[in-house]
Amino acid sequence: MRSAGWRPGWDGHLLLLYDGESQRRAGVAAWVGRGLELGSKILYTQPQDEPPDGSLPGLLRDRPDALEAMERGQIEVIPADPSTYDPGFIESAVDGALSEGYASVRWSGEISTALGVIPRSRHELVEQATDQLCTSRPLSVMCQYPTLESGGDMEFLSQSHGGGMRNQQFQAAPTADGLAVAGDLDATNHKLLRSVLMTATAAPERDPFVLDLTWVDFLDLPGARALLFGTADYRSGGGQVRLKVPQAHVAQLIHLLGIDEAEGIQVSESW
Amino acid sequence: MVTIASGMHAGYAHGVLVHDTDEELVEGTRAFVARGLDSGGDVLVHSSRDRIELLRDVLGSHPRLGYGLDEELYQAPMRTLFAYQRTLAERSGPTQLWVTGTVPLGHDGVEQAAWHRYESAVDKALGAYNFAALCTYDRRSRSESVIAGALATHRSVNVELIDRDNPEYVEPATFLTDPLAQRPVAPVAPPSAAIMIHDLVQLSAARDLVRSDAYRNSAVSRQTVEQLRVAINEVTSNALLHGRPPVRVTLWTDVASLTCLVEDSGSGYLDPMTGYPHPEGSTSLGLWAARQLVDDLQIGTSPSGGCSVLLTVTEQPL
Repeated sequence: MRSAGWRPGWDGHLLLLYDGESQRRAGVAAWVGRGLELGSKILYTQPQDEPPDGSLPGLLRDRPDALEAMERGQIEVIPADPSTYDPGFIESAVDGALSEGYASVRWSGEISTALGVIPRSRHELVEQATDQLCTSRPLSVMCQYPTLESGGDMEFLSQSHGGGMRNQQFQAAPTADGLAVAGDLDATNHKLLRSVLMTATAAPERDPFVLDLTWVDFLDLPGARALLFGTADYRSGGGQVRLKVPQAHVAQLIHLLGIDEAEGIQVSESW
Repeated sequence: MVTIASGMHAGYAHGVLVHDTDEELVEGTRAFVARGLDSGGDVLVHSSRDRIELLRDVLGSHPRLGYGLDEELYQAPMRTLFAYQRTLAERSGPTQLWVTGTVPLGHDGVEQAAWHRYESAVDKALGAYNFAALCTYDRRSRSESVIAGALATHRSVNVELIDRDNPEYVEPATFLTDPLAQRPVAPVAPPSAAIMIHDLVQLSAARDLVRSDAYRNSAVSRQTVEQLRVAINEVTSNALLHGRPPVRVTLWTDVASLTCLVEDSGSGYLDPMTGYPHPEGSTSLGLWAARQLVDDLQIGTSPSGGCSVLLTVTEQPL
């Protein structure tokens, strides 16, 4: 399990939350780039009738290295059908790629692709099974969800993606003691951050719950207040939140706003 | 007798003692300290390192009498002002805090004017608290303009050991228009960077621009750059939410200073003293925080009629 100071990355069972096609494109390109660095086999599920712009070649049109990888078979598009989401199918695809000599496998797709061929209830089971597979096999799966339509499912989505969530500005992923957050926490994502924190502290396995802000690059007032409000229920029940804040400018704003003096919050600037 | 201004705490006072002799200073300070202790308040006397022992010899010791060094308490105007505000906000109970001493001279006219603006803003930042201050100015060692600035920024004046209404006092917002205030203005030199912001999603682009431009063109420390980025982010966010987009963010960089002008396209007026009082709830929270993250923040009107905010950070060369 990740320890303090670990930076959420592009591996494991990831939830990509996007606010538009440009964000989705950037997220998929970065995730594919990470796979190419690792020499992974990259599988991508899309509808059989996906228009060119939304298809994988369309999403990767600015990455010639990825397009070359498609030509040589390192990146492979899998047309969506119900069997594509069978955990047995996923396992056999992983085994096949490993037998070809790839060190690991990556797989991604958009939620609407899945819901076009299987019901939501079955897809939730697939998400849970995938989370298991990502810990037992050399597999990373990135599930793409539109932020706007996913708010009501945040609790399930957070719990079923052990690799954490990403959006354009920030990332969050579970650690051994709590949650690590990275990136920019600001007015554009404070509601999402609050939701992620509420879910993470709903039934924490550890007390104090450690919120590791080591890799937070920028924090504004709405972001700082989300740290407070997102953990309010947990703290009002007697829980303790330990903020790990080694960056002076982040710690300063937390102190200025009096967050370090709020009930149930401790701040640690070193570890 | 001193008139209590509306909206201020009944125990609040910000007076000035302009003295011509050491004896006047000692007697004025002794009387202020005695009143503070007699009232049951906590009293702080601050001074320079070379004079604090002299004051201690004269005033003696008392469980509620403390001594502080100017070099620790008065490093930078806004830092000092908000440190006092935090201290007062965190004090529990009805005990009044009494503070007396000399506000330090700036190294030059610009620094001195910043301390005048500090003195003027004290009413806005600290007026809600049970706080009495007597600022002492030595007429023998200070220029006429410094004495004029001191008299324009204190509600009461101490004459013959009695506090009286000060006829030369100028309300803080008006004082900013006085030449004594030397209110900072945007540089006339061409800016090093500028960006138009249309919505909150673009805030990160403004932040990135500030960081890259500051690191490329100045030697200002990372901590200061990051503080300025937060301040600019809050001011720009306010302009988008309470003014009207687009918001223009313009940056000037120098080796030891960064200046940023944020202008919205609205037509609203914003009180130039907004952000000094301790915020209740989220009202003015952004400007209150921004003021504490920069050396100076001036609220004005842009040529197009929108609201403008000028933010400055400066680092002294080593």
